[in-house]
This record gives sequence, structure tokens and C-alpha cells, in this order.
Amino acid sequence: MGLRLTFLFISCFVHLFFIQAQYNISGRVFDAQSKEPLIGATVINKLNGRGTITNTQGYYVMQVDSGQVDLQITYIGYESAQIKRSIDADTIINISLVAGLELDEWLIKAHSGISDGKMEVGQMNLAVHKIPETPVIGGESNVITSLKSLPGVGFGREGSSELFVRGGSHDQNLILLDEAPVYNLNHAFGLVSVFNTPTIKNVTLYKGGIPADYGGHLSSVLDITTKEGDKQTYHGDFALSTFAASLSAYGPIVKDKVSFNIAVRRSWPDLLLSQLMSNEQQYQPGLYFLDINTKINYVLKDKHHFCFSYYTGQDKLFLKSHSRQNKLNSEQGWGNHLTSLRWNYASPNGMFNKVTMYYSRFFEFDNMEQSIEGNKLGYINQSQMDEIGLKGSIAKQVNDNLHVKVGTDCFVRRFQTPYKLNFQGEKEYIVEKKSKTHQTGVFIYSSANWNHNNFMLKAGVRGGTTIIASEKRYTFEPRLSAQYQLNKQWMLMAGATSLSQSMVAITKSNNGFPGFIWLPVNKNQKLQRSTQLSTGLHYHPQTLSVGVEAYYKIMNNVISHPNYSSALYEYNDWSNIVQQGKGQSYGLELLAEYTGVNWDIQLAYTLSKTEYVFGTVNNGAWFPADFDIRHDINWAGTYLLRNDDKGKNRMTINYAINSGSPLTMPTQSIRIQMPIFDYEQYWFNFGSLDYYERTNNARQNWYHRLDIGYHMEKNKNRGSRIWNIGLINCYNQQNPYAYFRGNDGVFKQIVLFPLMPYVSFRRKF
Amino acid sequence: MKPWVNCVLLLFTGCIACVSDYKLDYPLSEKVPVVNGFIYADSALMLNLSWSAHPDSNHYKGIEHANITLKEDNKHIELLFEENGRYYFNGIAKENSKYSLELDIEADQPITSNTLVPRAPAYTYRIISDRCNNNMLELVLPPVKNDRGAIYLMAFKYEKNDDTWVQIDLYSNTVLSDPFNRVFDTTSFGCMAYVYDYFMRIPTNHITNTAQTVELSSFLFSGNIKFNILTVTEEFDRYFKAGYLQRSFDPETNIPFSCEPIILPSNIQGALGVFAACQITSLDIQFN
Repeated sequence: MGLRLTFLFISCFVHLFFIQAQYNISGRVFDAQSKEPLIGATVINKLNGRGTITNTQGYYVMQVDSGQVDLQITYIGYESAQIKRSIDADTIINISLVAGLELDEWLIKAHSGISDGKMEVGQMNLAVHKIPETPVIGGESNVITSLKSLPGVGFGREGSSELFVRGGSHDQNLILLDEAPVYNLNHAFGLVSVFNTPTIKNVTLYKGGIPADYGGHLSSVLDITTKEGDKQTYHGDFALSTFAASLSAYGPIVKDKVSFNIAVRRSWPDLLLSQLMSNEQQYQPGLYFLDINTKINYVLKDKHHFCFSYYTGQDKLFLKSHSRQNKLNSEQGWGNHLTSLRWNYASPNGMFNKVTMYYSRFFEFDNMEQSIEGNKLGYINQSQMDEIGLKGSIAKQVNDNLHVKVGTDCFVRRFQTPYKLNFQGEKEYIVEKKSKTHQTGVFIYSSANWNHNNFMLKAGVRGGTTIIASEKRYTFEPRLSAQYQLNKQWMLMAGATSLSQSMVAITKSNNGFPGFIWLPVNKNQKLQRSTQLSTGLHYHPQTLSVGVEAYYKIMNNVISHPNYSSALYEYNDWSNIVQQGKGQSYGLELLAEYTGVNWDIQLAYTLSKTEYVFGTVNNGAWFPADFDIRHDINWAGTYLLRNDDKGKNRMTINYAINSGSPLTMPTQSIRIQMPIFDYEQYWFNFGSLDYYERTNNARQNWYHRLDIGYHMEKNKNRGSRIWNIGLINCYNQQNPYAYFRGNDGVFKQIVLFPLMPYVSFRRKF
Repeated sequence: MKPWVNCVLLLFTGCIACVSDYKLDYPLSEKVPVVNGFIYADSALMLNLSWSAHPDSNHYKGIEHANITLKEDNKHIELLFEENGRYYFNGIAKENSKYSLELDIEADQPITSNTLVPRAPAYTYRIISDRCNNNMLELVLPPVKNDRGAIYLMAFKYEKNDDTWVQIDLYSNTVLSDPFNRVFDTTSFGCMAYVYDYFMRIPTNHITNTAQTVELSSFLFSGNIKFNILTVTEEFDRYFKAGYLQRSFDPETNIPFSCEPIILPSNIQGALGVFAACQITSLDIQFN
């Protein structure tokens, strides 16, 4: 039924691709020097006040009547351009903008007098240039930390790089890096994310009003695009922080046509510590993370754009020895491999075609091999998920008011669920069998953007089938978002989104180290589903912007294992441990931004509640989600102390305060009689145990933390030199990271992030 | 590997982390009945019933005069006497027998559970030496049909002076064991790399298909050594491991990233605790 509805909906739009009315002006907007496409640049025809913005590949298209056009093109941080032309046919106009003059985004909007389409319900574009200036633990800039300062993006656990968006758990976010899905966000147990900031060009987060192009996860979409590389000159970038060092290079392979961008980042403290910790028996421990980003771009005749991206990243903990008597190689880790190949074609008649192929792998492992006096023994304990996908879309600006898109999104996933193999000598012993599961998805979607006067409507549908163990599961996901510009300053927005998800991440403990595995929904489980409604009001007079959004989300068939601690289970029979339940989340978000000449201030406030219900937990009563925080406030202020030819200095202050995450506290203690020997013989108190009647039955104390950063940039003959220094947790607030019962029977808290200075250095050349 | 990499991490976290008392009011609940029902093959049947208490309390009131029914293969077993919540029955637990429990306390819902006493596998062993002529024990574990339980190995040395058995550390390189309570020891006694805290746990799903050999060593393998091999059911295993994990976390040796509350899995309907069986095989070995 769902598939038929989808086909019916799409067929309403297909004929629109063949309607020719007026003429199309299309092309790319890019940086005049590097030729890097500019995403979200505004293109306005001053003669009729109509305009558009460039897409994620820097392309724009607009319909005009024959005759004169007077285009004004603007983009934050660039001088605006003006082009006057006489149009009597479909025309390609590529526009280059010169960098240097910083323009306030809201001033542009106020003067333009139109809604530039950037303001949509649930959509946020992160100011990428601000990410390196944000005070962050260890000084290693982290896009996830910056995202957490936005309303609706949950705090999660301190120091963690997982995303919790509008009540969704960390596995409910579709995270794309150059269109390939990313299934692990963490380096160094969450202190650092997998995204290397100098490589990032654009970050868009959809919390609601998710376009029909995206699907497969219940809560949000984080779409990250990396830089293409300068097509004119060679550049480099070296960065060093408390955690890692990175080196990147970008430039032309063939001027104006082919460019490359390559970046490598690796942790460095382990190189020192492992030397200190090595002993005379030549045992060498290690702990590191590594990222490699590569991108190659090829533009053919200004119409065809080919792009190849590759990312590999890994965390590894290891212990090695090469002694004669005892050779040892023990390692544990996790990571991602991503590859994507994309082709865009912008035709003169205003159609924009895109085809993307991608491959994504998530893996985690715990392996050991030892040779003792020639006798080999060891084990292999691994899991892996591979995904190959093909996406394609055709978009067309039908007329001044209507833009339509149809597309398809297909994938094949292979899940290698956790297996364990022991070996001793020449013999192998299968402890947990290898089990491979495949999942295939075929989806089609269509969407239409219609605007008339001050009203804009985006309607879309995404439908298809997921094949699980030869069984087909159909989905039909309508999408809707609308905006009404009440006047130059006020805008009303609303949205509705329906999503489904056919996989889940289960937490797993490897020798005490945290981790997770991806598992498919099996034939005995239902697809996870969510429906979200949201509405908002936006006010933007001059330099002030205030947005308020309310949302309600319901999640059905959510998969989790609320009764079982990840440290306790090592089975691969997860289907007997997990359950399906329901979740709901509702909230109110406020984002206020003020941009002055030398300073800007951002205030984000989220009032929300997220709760789940599973039949066998808490007697079937609703309970707070692990990341349910009632009040979450982030205040950030930046002051520009100096900005001249020699460089600029900026001070940033961040203050975060929230009402505390839920906590599971014991409600009673119980007697225990342990086997064989009496509890007094244990070094810990084994005479009693904690009983937890309900999950998340208490709440931590209020969390608050003040961070200050100072950014000093000095222009050099070639490039610039940047120092960032700062202090995390300036007044040493003791925010707990974890709790445990000490040997004296009293509950203790571990504070991981007290007062912490940081310093980082960056040299661009 | 664990302590080495932990040292790297703990050096980092230890430099910056702080441990202090956490002050928070407990969300107290009503008291609940607790059953401690470990059934040991060839041992007298005894159950301990108590009430739960305040989370910080170590004093537990026994449940007296409970209406308790214990059956062995559906045959009723007579209650001999009770004392402060301890109920002693007229019977010895037998291997491969099913035991069921029914309990009525103060008109609450009936409390029920059941368990099966596992058979005693035929363990064999031999004493061997390592390259330095240190004593080692080679223990052969026959395949176990129950693939959800575990085997626990513990060793004790007889101290003549005190006339007591004192537990001793076990060293082994086996890949069969659960690594959760072992540490890497580079002193490599007898070429053994790992030392176990109190016991070695071997999940039975590691030895379901074929017999496996475990080599054990210790600094104290001389004189009279007693090995206790516990073959336990799934309920016994999960409850014991959960309790051990709940209590054994130490920030000086465990990293905080995976610290979480451990919920005790109970196989008792209507109460807390555990009703589970265990087969103990004792090997008395004389080392030179």
C-alpha cells in the first residue's frame, strides 16, 4: 500500500520535468581564488525580487522571463557580485566571489527583503569558521561539541561525541560525510570526533522537517561536506593540540579543473607514554587514533562535476612484545572506512542531476595472538557492518514558484554479527559462530517546493521496501514543511516528518572498554518508526535573530536492552536480550543570536522531556531516557579584540548549564551469600548488593561549566599562524562523570574534567 | 593487556580525575523479600530468606515463619527447622534433579522459582612442569551440554600452622576464560601471562563441542592444593558475575568510561535474589 502511494505521488510530479516555461539561469557560485563551491550563497534578481540559494554542490537555478536580469550574489565573508544580462534562452552563468569582506548575515537578509530559504523548521547550518574558536577539551576542535551548543541537540555524557537530537538515541541519526553514512563518531572514547575540522566545508543538521532525500534513521540528519581543494594554488595546514597533530594539503592537479584535498590526523601522546611504559621485557603498550581524509574533484566543461572521497579512521589499543620466549600481539579497536563517488550534471534547461555511489564499513575487534616458547594461542573477537549504496536524483526548477525533485536511494548491508574464535596450536575452536545477515533497501522519493508571495511549502514522500531475511517490509514516509513570512521580520514555520529505521546499535563492553555493534532488525522484530510534528516562529530585525520551535515526536518499536548491562553479556544471541518498546519526546527550543560589529552572542535554551516504555521494565511504566535533560542552556559570546591587516584576536566565552541527566540509584540493598568462601575474603564489600527497582529513578545535580578561549591569528606572508589557548571548567566545578560504590560502602563520584587548560597551534600556508 | 593499557589511560585520567563522595538522596522503595538459594550438589538443602534494607545498610532482617515449599523432582521435601531466616530441609541435593520453590510471605503474590542441578563432568588432570621446573596443572575440561552456564576454577592451599585453607592466585594463558577479572602480569611466572582475581570463569559455550585443556600455574603450587571446580547453571553464573561486577569496580584499576549500574538478573518470580544450582568438584592434589 505504501509503495503504491509513493508511486502515485511521484507520478504527479514527473510530468513537470517536461514543462518548459520562461528561461532558466543556472550555474555555480564559487570562491574566485580557490574555485571552491559556495554552499548557501544567495542569488537574487533585483528586478523582481525573486531569488534562490546554491545547493550543497554550489549550484543554483532560477527561472526568469526573457529580457534583462540584474543578479546580486551574496555570501557571508565575501564581497557581493552583480551581473546584468539580457536573457533570451536557457543560460549558464557561473559566478565567482572574492573573499575578504565580512558581512553580517542578518544585515544581508534585512536588506534583501526576502526569505532566503535558509530558515526552515528544524534545519540548522553550523558556522564552520567558528568551530576552531570554540573552547573544547584538549584544544582539538570538535564539530560535535559545537553542535551541542544548539537547542534540541542533547548534552549526552560529558566529553562524549555522540549525538542525541530531540529525544533520539545516538544510533537514530543519519550522519553523512560526503554522502557516505558514518556509523561511528568517536575517537578516544568520545573526547574527539571522527571529523577533522580543517577539512570541513559545510555542516547542516536537520532536527525536523527532514527532506525526502534522507531516510533510514529516526531522529535527525547530519550532513557534512568536506572541502574540494583549491583549483589554483597549493596550500597546506598543520595543527597541533593536546590530543592530536594533523597535516593537510590541497591544491590543483590540473588548474581550474581537477583539485585534491588530503588530510591526516593522528594522536601523539601515546607515542611518549608508550615509551615510558615499556619495560625491560620489551612490552610495548599503545593507544592511538588516526584519520585520513582524501578528496579529488574534477569539473568538466562547467557542467559535469565528478567527486571522489575517501575516509579511513580507527582507534586502537594494543600491547606488543617481541621477546623470544613470549611474543605477544594483543589489540582492540574500532573504526570506519568510507568511500563515495559522485557525479553532478547541471543542464542549461535548469535540470540538476546527481548520482552517488558509496561504500561504508564499521568494524570493531578484540584480537590476541601469543607465542609462548613456540606454542601459539589466541582469539579473534570481531564484528563488522558493510554498506554499499546507490543514490540518484533529478531536480528541476519548473517555474518561478515551483521546484521539483525525484530520486532513488538503494543499499545493500551486510552485518557480520559478533563472533569469537579461539585457537591453540593448530586447532581452532569456534566459540560464537560467524553469522552474516543481509539487508537490502530500495526507496524512491519525490518532493516539491512551491512558493507564492510570502508562503513556501515543501511536500515530499519517501517510500520503499527493506528486505530482511527474504521478507519485505514496506514504508511510506510523508514529509512536509511550510513557512509563511508574516512581514520582513516575522516568519511562521511548521513541519511534519515520518521516518523508519531497520537497524540498531547495541552497547557492548570489551574488557571494560565501551563500544557498540550494529545489528539489523530481524524477521521477528518490527521496523522502528517515528513521527514528528514541529512548529516555530522566527523574528529577525536587523542584527538580532530569535527563533522558537516546539516539537512532539513519537517513536514506535524502538529496540533496546534496558534490563541488561552491557558488561554482563557476551552472547551473540542478541535477539533474546533486546526488546521493542515505545518512546516519546516533546520540547520547546529557543535560539537567540545577536551579532554586533565586534561581538556576537548566542543563547540556546531547550525545555524537553524524553521517556521510554518497555513491557518488562519498571512494570511497563514510562521512564526517563538516559539522555533526558529537562532544562539545557548554552550561552556563548565572542568578542573581536583586534581585526586588522596583521591579524585578529578573539575571545570566546561559553557557559553551559543543565538540570542534570537521569541516574539509576539503588532503592534497597540485599543480602548476598556468595559461594565457597565468605564475603570477608574479598577485598571489596561482598556482603550486600544494590537493588535497582527502576531505571533512571534519580537525577544528577545541576551541571554547569564555564569555558574561556582566546584565539590569536597572525597573518604571514603565506597563510597565517593561529594560537588558541583557553581554560575548560574555569571555576573547577565538580561535574560527575560516573558513580560507583566504594569499599567503604559510600557512593563515590568520578570527575573527569576539572579545571583544564588547553593550547593548540595551527599554521596555514 | 588490560593493566598496561589501563596504565596509559589511568595516567591520563588519573592526572585530571577526582574521586569524592557523591551526595544524593536515595529514591527509596518498599522492602522486598530476598531469596538466597544456592543449591550445591551433595550438600544439605538450605535457603536464606531476608528482607531488603536501606541502600547503605548491612543489617538484614530474616523472614521468619514463611510458608515455604521445596520440591525435588516434584516430590515434597520436609522442612526440618528455621532459624533467623535460614530454612534447613531434610535432604541432600542430587545432580540432575530439578528443584522447585514456592513461597508465601505476608499475603504478597506467591514467590516461585526452579533450577536443575548440573551433572558433575569428569574432569581429569595431570601435573606437568614448565621450562623452569615449576609445577603446573593441566586440567582437561570435558564438553558441557549446557551452553549457557559457566565453570569457575578456584585454588586453595593448606596452611598447616593455621589448619586452614587459604585461597591462592591462579596464573594461566588459556583463551577459554572470561577476561573480566584477569590482569596481564609481565613477571610471567612459569611463562604464564595472566593472573586471575579469586577465580577463573570459563563460559561453557567455549567448551560445548570438544574437550579443552587448561594449564594453570601459581607461585604456591607446592604441598597440598585443593582445586574447586564449580559447574554452575546460567542463573547462578549471571547472578554471581553481576554481583562481582557491581562490587569490584575500582577507579585505580578500572577505567571510568564503561562504569554503569549493574542490574542483578533474578530467576525468582515475585522476589529478589537467586535460586540456582551448582556442582562442585574438588581435586586434592599433592605437589612436590
